[in-house]
Formats: sequence, structure tokens, C-alpha cells
Amino acid sequence: MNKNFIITIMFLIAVFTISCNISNANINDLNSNQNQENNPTKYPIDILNSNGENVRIYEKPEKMIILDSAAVEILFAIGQGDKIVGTHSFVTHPEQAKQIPKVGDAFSINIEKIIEQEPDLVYIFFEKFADDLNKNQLKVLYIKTLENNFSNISDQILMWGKITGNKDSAIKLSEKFHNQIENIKSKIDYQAKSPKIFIDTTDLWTSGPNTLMGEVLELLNLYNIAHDVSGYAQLNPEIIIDRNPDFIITPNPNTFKNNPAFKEISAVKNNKIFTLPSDALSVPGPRFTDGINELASLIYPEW
Amino acid sequence: MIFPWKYTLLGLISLCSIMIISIGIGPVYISSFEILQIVTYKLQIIEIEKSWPQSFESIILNIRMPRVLLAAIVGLALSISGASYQALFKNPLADPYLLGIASGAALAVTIVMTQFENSSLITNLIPISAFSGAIICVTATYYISTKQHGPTNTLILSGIAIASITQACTSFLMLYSNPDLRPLLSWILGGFASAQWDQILIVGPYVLISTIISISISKYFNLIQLNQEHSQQLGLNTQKIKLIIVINSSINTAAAVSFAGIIGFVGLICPHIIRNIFGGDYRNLIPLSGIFGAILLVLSDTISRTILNPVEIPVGILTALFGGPFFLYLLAKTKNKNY
Repeated sequence: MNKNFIITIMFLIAVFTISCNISNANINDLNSNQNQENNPTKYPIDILNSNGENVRIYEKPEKMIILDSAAVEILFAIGQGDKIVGTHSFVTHPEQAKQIPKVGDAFSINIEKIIEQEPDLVYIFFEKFADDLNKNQLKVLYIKTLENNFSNISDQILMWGKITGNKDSAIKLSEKFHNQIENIKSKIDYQAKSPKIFIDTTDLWTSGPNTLMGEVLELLNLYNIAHDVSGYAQLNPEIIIDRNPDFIITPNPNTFKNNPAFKEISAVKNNKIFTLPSDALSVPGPRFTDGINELASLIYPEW
Repeated sequence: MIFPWKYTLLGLISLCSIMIISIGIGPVYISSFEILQIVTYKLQIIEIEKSWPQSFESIILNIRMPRVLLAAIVGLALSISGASYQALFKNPLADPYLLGIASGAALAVTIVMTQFENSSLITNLIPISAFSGAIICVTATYYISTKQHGPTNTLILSGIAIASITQACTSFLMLYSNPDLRPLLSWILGGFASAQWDQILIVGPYVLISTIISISISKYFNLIQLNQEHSQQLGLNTQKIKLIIVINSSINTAAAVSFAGIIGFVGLICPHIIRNIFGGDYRNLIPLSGIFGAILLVLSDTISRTILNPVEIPVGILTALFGGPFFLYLLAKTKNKNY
């Protein structure tokens, strides 16, 4: 099997499942509008895409193709979910999103199906498809996804508010998001000793500090044992034993429980191997803070 | 029976030394004295005071030792089955991939991983499914080609066809089952990060037995190099020998593939390198290329777990990087036609 192909897919999956889409969209005029209640968006508007080009949107999009889980969740949260006419097959939330036609996945998109929907906006987080879509005279908004901080999630919410003319609910949602982060911060004692944690995404693949997960661990005052990993990588098992994490988060607890090599790790000895109850932490949308709370309640019993 | 005792012994000594050195190397620094202490303590040769952290013991005994051993076993198995297929097909390009064996194993494992992803039985199912996938594919290949009574090429071509079909199915399953394919992908890329003693206990006996069989029938490998009429005139049942070689080598390959995934290149280049140095007599070639394959994989794995500390890189990348240039050098230097 072609190694390059596999490595490309691996990279795509890493991009796709963990850090789906944190935008660095430029929302410069939003603060000025914040005080004017019910002031609708004045079209046309310009959104800066990740290639540094302005994408001009002339009127409120009524039919959008959204190839990204987080953006779908944001649109439903600000009450614009009914404008989505197509999405990709990995979207799991909310319940209504399952009814939306699927026009692609992380690896391929079905251009014919997309054209058939006659969308007035196609949102992608992966540049690969941009050319194909542009060639077919579709309005494409491409926002790169490997940015890594919480404020980008708020930015993304505000951007969708601006595009769909729902600034008020977007501002409310982003404030709620911000408050939830602040609320989490206030519950953490940053003077306390950080518990050591290993986040296993499967087969000892893990996230380094310069990822969104890295930032979550920092917020929760957790010490990432993969602190010297850049991006996503497979950690050597020796290193895990040597750094001796107090907690292990993994979808397959048996990887650690059944391997005699790991039996001296304190997380294994004290039975502190947990699986996250939902995928909220892998979709940087409105549910993201729920994911942080899920992780926190596994670590801190009084949470 | 002529057996290259001198070189085999020499090879085994270098393999052992390389394995011992490899156990001493790793991302976590443990001094040779401590390793010696841990091993003596564990073997209970003499009573010594425990003065090292418990984690060192786990790392040496449960990570590095099974890992180095598994790498050696897999290298041996892939290399010997590569040499056997080259003899069988009288074709220098033959290797365990050729008959769709590795791809068949990969497809079976992909089916198990995608269908039973939450089952706790999955670790037990993987080796069994790899075995059955490999055997099904090799039987299909062999059956189709012998029905034709065609030249050796028919066998290779049907192998390639089976490999393409199974790879297409694997890709399809990978793309359309579960977005989280990382366990599958790292298995396909191959590696020894999750090596455990249990796996060695499962795989070791198969590899040992089929290695002994390969060595003991290696004189027939020379005979089937003649054309079929000649070898039949010498009283050899070529079909039977060929069948034994196919089954034996496929078990070897499936055993190697089931825990280490797909590691390319070893089965192809090791026999060639040995052939270039020692000539084309399969009585030399089988044992020596086995040992050489083991050495190559142990070295590659040592590098793959240390070079980007603390991160692992797939060992298959290194076997290609390591073996490729050396292979090219030998090709350019010698013009040995002993195939």
C-alpha cells in the first residue's frame, strides 16, 4: 500500500478528528455593532479566508454546504441550522443534523451532489477541495483549521453570526462560551501541583502542547506528559512508563490494563484510566466546554 | 548435507550482540550496569540489592526485550519467506507481498478492526484473522495459477491481481467505516511499539517450526531452479515441494504480519544482499538471509524508537531507507546472475 497515501490520510485524520476547525477569521467590525440591538448585517460583507483573500458575500446565504462538524454545531446553536443543505458524513450533532444530505467526508467530496443543491456558500476547512469548487462557480469560504486557541472558537461563532445576519445570537453564544471558560478557570486552583496526564487518542498517538487539547490541559492545570511533542505523534511506550502519568485518557483502556509493561504506571495502579463519555472535546464548537467539563470531572472528583 | 555452519554461527553471534546492544539503547537512559543488575536480579543468579526504580525494570523486561525479540523474529520470518518465494518463482522480484499474502492478511485484519471495534476480543482476533486472510489469498492465487498450468508468471500475475482486489477492499473499508482509523493505519504502517511477551509466545513457535522446515528442505530449492522436466527426471515431485513451500512461507509471513503489521522491503532485499555476497545456493541463502533479516529489523527498530525521541516513527520507512541504498550499491557493484 502506498505509504505516502497512508501518511496523508493519517495527517488528514489528525486534522479532522481533533482540531477540526479553529478559524482565524477577521471580524473587525463586530465590536462596533455590539451595542446596536437588532441591527441586521448590512450586505455585502467581506470575510478574510485563510489564503488572505476577501470573500465577498452579497446577501444572506439561504443554502449552505458546511463540510465541518464544528461549523454545523455553531449554525444550529445560533438558529441557522435550517440553512444547511449539505454536510459531511462525520457530523454527529445535533440530532437534526443527521437529516442533512451528506455530500462528502474528510477524504473526498461529491462535487456533483454539491452543485445539485445549488448552494450560495460552501464552507471548507481543507484547501484541497477549494480549486474544484471554485472551478464550478461556487462561492467558497476556506478557513484553515490548525490554529489553536479558545478565542478562535468565539471568533468562529461571531463570523457565522455575521455571515447569516444573526449577530445577536452569535454574540450571546460566544459570550456564553467565554463565560463557561472563565467559570472553569475560576474552579481550578492553579497553585496546586498539576496531576500528570497522558491523552491517548489510540495506539499511543497523542497531542502536544501546541494543540487545542494542549490548551485544554493547561486550562485544567494538568501536566501533559507529551510536553515535548509537536502537534500529533505516537509516543514511545518507554517514555510513558518513565514519565509515569497519574491519569490516562484513552478510548481503549485495555491497551494499558492488559499490557504488563504498564502495570507500574500510577494511573494503572490506581485505576485512573478513563474514557471520555462523548466526542465533545474533538469538535471545537459550542459543545466544546461540555467536553472540558467532562474531562475535568474525570480528574477532579469534586467537580 | 552442506550447511554453512561457520557463517551461520558468525551471523548468530552478531545478531545476539546487536540485540543486546539494542536492549541497552532507548529514549529513557538506563546504564548498562543497571541493565545487568536487573537481568541478574530477574534470573536470580545471585542475590543483589534492588537499587533501581521499578520503571526501569518494566522498560527493560517488558518493553525493550519483547520488542527487540519480536523485531528479530519478524525479520527472520519475512526474510526467509522472501527467499523461499524467490526460489519458488525463480524470480528475483518475489517477496511476501507478491502473492497477495500481506494484503490478504491486511484485509482480514481491517474487517475485524472495523466490525468488532469495541470488542474486547479484538487482540485475540487479529492474529487469527491475519492467518486466515493470508491462507485464503495464497490458496486462491495458487489455485488459479495451477489451473492454467501456465508458466511461473501466471502465478505472479494472479498474485498481483489478488493483491489489488484485497487492497481495494481494504481502502474502501478504511474510507467508509469509521473516521478514527489510527489503530488500523499504524498497524498497516507496521511497527513494534506494542510488542509484548504474549505475542512472541504466539508467533515464535510458528516462525521457529517453519524456519526449521525451510532450512531442511532448502536443497530442493536448488532443484526447482531447474526447469520442471529436469527436476522431475531427478525424481522430484515439484508440485508437492512447491505446495509445501507456499504453505510454509505463508504461515511464516502471516505470523510476522499479525503483530508487526506490514513491513515492506525486508523480504525482498535481504535474500538479494546475501545472494550477492554468498552466491545463489539456497542451502546458504535460507539460513543466512534469515539472520540478516533479523539483524536489519532489529537495527531499524532501534533507530525508529530513538531517533525522534520521544516520538516513534514507522519502522517500514527505516527498512526502506536503510536497505534501499545498500541494495542499490550491491546491484551496481556486482553482476551476479545466480537466480
